Amino acid sequence: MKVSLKIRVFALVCFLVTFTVIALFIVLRNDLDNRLHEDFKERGLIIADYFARNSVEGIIIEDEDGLSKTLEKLFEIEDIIYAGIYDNEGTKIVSKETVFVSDSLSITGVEDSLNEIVSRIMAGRKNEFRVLDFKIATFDEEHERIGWVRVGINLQRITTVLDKMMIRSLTMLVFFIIIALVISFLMANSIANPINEVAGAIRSFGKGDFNSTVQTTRDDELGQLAMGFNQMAESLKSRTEELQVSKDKLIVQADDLQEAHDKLEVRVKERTEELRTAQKELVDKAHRAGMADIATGTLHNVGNILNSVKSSAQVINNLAKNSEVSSLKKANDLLREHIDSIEEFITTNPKGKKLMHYYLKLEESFISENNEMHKHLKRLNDKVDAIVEVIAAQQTYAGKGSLTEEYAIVDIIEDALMMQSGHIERYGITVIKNYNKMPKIPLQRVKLVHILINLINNATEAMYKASQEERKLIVSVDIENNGVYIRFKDSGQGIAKSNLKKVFSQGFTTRKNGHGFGLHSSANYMTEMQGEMWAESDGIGKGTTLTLKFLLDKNTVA
Amino acid sequence: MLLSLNFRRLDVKKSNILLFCIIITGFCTSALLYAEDLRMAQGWSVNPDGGKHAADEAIAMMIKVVKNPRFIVLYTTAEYGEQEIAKTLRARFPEAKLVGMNSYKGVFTSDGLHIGKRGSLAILGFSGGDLVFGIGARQVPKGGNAMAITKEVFAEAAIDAGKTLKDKPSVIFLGAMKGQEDAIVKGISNIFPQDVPLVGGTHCDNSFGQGYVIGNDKIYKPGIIVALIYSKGRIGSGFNSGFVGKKKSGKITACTGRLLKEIDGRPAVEVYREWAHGHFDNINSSKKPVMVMSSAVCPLAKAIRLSNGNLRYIPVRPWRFNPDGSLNMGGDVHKGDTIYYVEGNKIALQRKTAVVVRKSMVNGKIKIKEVAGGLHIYCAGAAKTLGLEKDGATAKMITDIHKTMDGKPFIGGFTAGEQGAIPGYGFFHGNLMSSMVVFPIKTEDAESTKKK
Repeated sequence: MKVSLKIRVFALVCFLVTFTVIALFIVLRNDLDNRLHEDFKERGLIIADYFARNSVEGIIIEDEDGLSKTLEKLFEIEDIIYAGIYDNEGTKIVSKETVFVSDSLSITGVEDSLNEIVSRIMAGRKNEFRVLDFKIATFDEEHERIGWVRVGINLQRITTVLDKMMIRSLTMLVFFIIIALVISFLMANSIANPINEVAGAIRSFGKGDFNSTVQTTRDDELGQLAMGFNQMAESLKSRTEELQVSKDKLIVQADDLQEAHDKLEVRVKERTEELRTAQKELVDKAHRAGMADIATGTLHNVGNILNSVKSSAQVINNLAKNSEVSSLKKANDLLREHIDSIEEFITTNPKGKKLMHYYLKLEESFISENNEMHKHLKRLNDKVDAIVEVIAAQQTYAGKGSLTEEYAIVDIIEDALMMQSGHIERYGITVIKNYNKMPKIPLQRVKLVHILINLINNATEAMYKASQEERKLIVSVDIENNGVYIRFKDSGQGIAKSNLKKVFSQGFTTRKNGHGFGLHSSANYMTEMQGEMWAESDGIGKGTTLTLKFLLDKNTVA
Repeated sequence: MLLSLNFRRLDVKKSNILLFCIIITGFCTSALLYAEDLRMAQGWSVNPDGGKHAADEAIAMMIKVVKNPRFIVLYTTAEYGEQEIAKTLRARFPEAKLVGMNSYKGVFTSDGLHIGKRGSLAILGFSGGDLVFGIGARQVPKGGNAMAITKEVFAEAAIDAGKTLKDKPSVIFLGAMKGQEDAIVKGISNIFPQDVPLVGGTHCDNSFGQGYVIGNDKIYKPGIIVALIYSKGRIGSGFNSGFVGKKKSGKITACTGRLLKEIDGRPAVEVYREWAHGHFDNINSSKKPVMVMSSAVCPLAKAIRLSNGNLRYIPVRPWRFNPDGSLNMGGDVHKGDTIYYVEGNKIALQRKTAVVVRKSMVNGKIKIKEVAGGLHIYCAGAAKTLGLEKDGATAKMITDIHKTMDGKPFIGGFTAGEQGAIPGYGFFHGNLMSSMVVFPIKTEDAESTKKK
């Protein structure tokens, strides 16, 4: 149901006035009742106390006349309806009542208490009384109780006052409601009419009539509302025009932006292509540098082994030169010379005897020479095999593509160590291996070997200043937190903390003949293999640990 | 002698029986006497034919109720010859102890005010009850040490009662000598530091001159007389003035004895006149000393600070203005003490007596019906101010006492100073006061009665 604002305001004012007057009446009535009651109580207590004090002497000397006069004096006070004076046993000495009350006005029951103040209803001859009943003990100067007084104060006057108040309040209520009706009617009109005008203007504005305004001469809140609306309409109108201009500008700017965007996209593509090319070149360069390192290492190793081959050949050559075979020819010539008289020669000729002894010793020499020859021939054979292996290893990695396959990491590490064995040997490095059992993991073997050779070379070269006992390279392989960790820990010159990250930058090196590609390319390779690597060092002179980390597939079982 | 002769003739057995009977009889007699209620009776006379006739009339009146009094109190005006009164009373009641003192111009009793043209006297006789009386009296020579004499008098009274001064009496009845009241009161304080009800007055003749006191059959002029009354029960007493303080006070900066010279460094008369707001404007004391009777309604006062913080005033009446600005006072004043200005009126002077009577009964917790009688002392100056006419305010005052005491016998005298005790604060001498003692019929201690 649609109820107009006028009626709402009208009803609200009426309700508020009625509610306020009734609430006020209830609150005031209760408050007044309590206050009057308290006042009567306070007043009654003063009266009863005064009465008690004035009765002390009379009670002591049992002066009934005097007490009667005191009692008469008490009844000059309004609202006293009964009073009595009692001795210490509660026996009445004198008493008086202005109205009949059915209750027994004794002091029984208060012997143990000093004072008693009770508000009670007492039955009279015709009606009931609301009475404030005081029972007050009286004391002599030695503070001994000597008796009691009892005073009843009629509270009827409170009821009368409250009744009068109720009548006045009801009269006020009617009066205020009439006033409220008139005021609310006027107020409702004065509020609703301007609002309706503003509402009409808003509706017109909403329909697109930006010229609609509200005419007002008021300067109150409603006048301010109308003026506010007019200002708002004016402001909205100008804002709408400004917005249209801005919109046109924005369209032009959007076109410009689109063109610039297209150009930028082309340039980005070009630059990206250039970067890719540069990166490829860089990778190739690194690869080549790595391959060169491998080749250099291989040649170096082969050279080292050939030195051993040469020394073994020299030994064999010396063995051959110094062989007993040349002496055997002289012995055989002497034997042939005496072949016919061999028996005599052997038995009589001292040379024959020496010759026999020579032959007997010859076996031992031949066996010794033969063993030495075999030994060096075997060594020669081993070195040749080593050369073959080194070359075969180099051939294994050289020219291989970036094919990802599952490999046993430890085998690859061993290959790398073997390839760099000459290097390791030359620097007198002791390699300590801590390999844990590893699953095969997918990786690009060539790139890993390249990385490992880099690390081995760096580690061995870093330890060139260390004493022979300190030159230790600890290679460990572990599985931790679902990753495979390969650590190369050397006791070399270490890395300054500020350089720990820089060592992976392209061109960064601390070696005189370094080119700064090794660790950079290694880091790139690790990234390509979904792995990562980092360097740790406690500072200069405190060694370095290079760690490679490969993430394990969740399904991979160690 | 007869008894001793008879004893010689009796054998041992009979003598034992006789002794037993005597003891039993004595015991029973004592018990009967002990249990007897106190009886008091008054007698008075304004007989113009002299003291003897007056005494006879009073005795005749008294013996209607109390035939053989053990103790008699006498108030008499100075016109009657003291010797004939004493002789008459002693001749009639040789066993009774008698204390008497002068009263100003008249006496009063339950029957009213008695002002005889040639003298007035009133007697109050006591019989029964457990009261024990002791009387002491001394002549005080000029320049005598009143304090020391007081002690002698009290010691004598205690011995007369068969007691010592260590025994606390129930009440002290005092006839003080004019001019020595403060010394006497101080002497009493030295004897009884503890509170003892005191009813005392300064005896005087009809011109406020030195009076006389009678102790049994002796006359002392000037003298002190005291009666110590011992009882197991409570005896009520009261001592009040009825004046109200006006918040005017000053320090005594110069004084000699009873001559108040300066208050707050200013002449005492000047300050007193200021405080009295023109009450003394018609008195010109610049050339010669002037007696001031009207100071009876607005005297000066000493004060005691009570435990409840209130002041209790003891009026000291300025009775003469001197040209040097000093005041003659009705009591001693001391340098450094604070002196207060208090006010009253004739109605207050009249009504205060009934109030004192009532207070006495309350203090003694004596019910009206149980009152045997009372002894009263009222200020002669106040009585003079009220007027000593037959239907004057003094007479009305006596009627009030009569009503308050429910017609019980009492006698009273007018004195030139009053002495009393304020429980907890000691003994005091003042002027314009009323002092009273009320005796109950049952003088036995209530507690001991219950035990019996």
